[in-house]
Amino acid sequence: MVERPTDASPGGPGSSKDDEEELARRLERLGESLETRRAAEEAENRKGRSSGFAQATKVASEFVAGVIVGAGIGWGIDKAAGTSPWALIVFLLLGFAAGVLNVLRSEGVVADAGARLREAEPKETRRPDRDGDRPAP
Amino acid sequence: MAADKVDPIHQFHITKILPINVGHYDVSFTNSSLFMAMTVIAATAFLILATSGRSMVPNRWQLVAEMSYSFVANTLRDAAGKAGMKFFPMVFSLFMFVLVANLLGMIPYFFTITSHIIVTFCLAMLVISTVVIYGIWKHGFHFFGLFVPSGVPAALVPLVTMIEVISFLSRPISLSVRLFANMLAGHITLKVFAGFVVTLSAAGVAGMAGAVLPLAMAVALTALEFLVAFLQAYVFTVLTCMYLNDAIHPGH
Amino acid sequence: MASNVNTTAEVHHGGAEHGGAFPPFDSSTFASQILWLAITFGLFYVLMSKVVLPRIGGILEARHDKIAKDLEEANRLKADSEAAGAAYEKSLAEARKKAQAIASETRSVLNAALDAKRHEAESSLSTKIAAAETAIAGIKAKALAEVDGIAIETAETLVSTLAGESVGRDEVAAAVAAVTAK
Repeated sequence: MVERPTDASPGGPGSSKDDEEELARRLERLGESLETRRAAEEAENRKGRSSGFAQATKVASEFVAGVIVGAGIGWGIDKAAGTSPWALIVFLLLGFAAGVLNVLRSEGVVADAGARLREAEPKETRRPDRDGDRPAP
Repeated sequence: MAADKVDPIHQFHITKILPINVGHYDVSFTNSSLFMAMTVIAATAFLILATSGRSMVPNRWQLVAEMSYSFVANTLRDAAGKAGMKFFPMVFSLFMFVLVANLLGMIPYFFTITSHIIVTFCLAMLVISTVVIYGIWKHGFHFFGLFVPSGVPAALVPLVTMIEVISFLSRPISLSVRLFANMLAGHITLKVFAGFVVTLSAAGVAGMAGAVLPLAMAVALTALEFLVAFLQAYVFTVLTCMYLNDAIHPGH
Repeated sequence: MASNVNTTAEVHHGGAEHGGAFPPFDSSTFASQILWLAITFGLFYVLMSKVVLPRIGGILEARHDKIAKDLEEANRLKADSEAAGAAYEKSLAEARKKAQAIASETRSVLNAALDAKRHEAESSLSTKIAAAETAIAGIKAKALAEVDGIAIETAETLVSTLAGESVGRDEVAAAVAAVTAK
């Protein structure tokens, strides 16, 4: 008299049991894939990027640029004020220091001027590393 | 013609196509100008044609266009935050321009505009001027706080500030020198190895056997140069974003 | 031959390209490059910011919206189907409970009816048995009474036939009673 649809004879209500299981499985799969999608979306939002390339041209260009600018400023001051060669010498030294600073900064040894000043305020942005350059051959 | 192939510098020569003179300045339409125009046309045509379908499910080309868009957008957002997105058109233009110029330069007999220091320097100056002008417009005198370090003994402040200023001014130079040097060095190296192949294979069977090694090197270098072409465009973009970040958030 | 061509090429460059300076550092080409870079890059910037970027941005936006909407829809449908499943389970359980209730009720009703019938049958049976027992007892008493009558009559007949003389009925009856009392 108390007939449960789950333990009834196969054929009629038996197939509904299969349907039920199938539906449950499909629901589970749907739930999983929805979850994966959401996770992927979140991961994409805070995806970090770091390149494994570290190269000499980067260091060289950083250093040379500092020296060139220093020399250029010194030369310009000498030219304008007629103090040759003292400004050139002084600014070449400063340029050398700036070049070293550039290199240290690009290697992440010394904090960026901006980053150092920003320390107090909450950082909402992440600075990508500056290691991307020529790949190691 | 064989001589052209062997001379690794020849590819960087600028030849006039349409001589124009304005006052004292020679502003002729040269092969460099031609390739600048080709870069613009190629990049724009690609981006427009690739997205002509405007399909929900992108095809391969549309995907490439969309990927470059989101790639630059993500890089900029990572480096400079939401406020940096107002510079997105400029950063995207720089990225696409440098990338397409680099890639066009990989085609044999094509001119590489980014192998000329003046081009990369102008692009870098564009970035730095944007940073300085926007920084001063937005933050006024505060912007120069970027150069005054904190936590340094008072006596050293002028010296360190001087060094910081030079370091800041060296940015466009290092930015341009890096791109220029990479493209120049890559193309010279490629040309030299290709020259070896040509010279050796001209010297008979033994030479052809000997040419295998430089040929393999040339192939490997070509692959490497494609990577470098992309990577330099990326580095240029990342550094642009970081400098822009200094203009947007120069600290207190 | 090759070296010959080479020298002519170099001579050509030397003549046309300002004394063979390293081309990237040849400042005589700078003005032209700067101007054309400004023109082409400016054009490129305008094309990008006015045409290409709004276009790609629009496509991405539309897709993002569509995906978000579809995901929401899928989530909603999933919740719906889960709710439907729960409702189904609930109604199933209710139906089971109801069925059980009906079954037990039916069983008790039937049991009661059965009991009543049995009781009725038993009582009618016992009345019948009682009636039968009284009837039997009556018949038995009657029969016993008749046995005396028959015995007296038989004895009277026997005595009259054997002895040829009539005996008084009372005597016979007394005699029979004496015998049966033994």
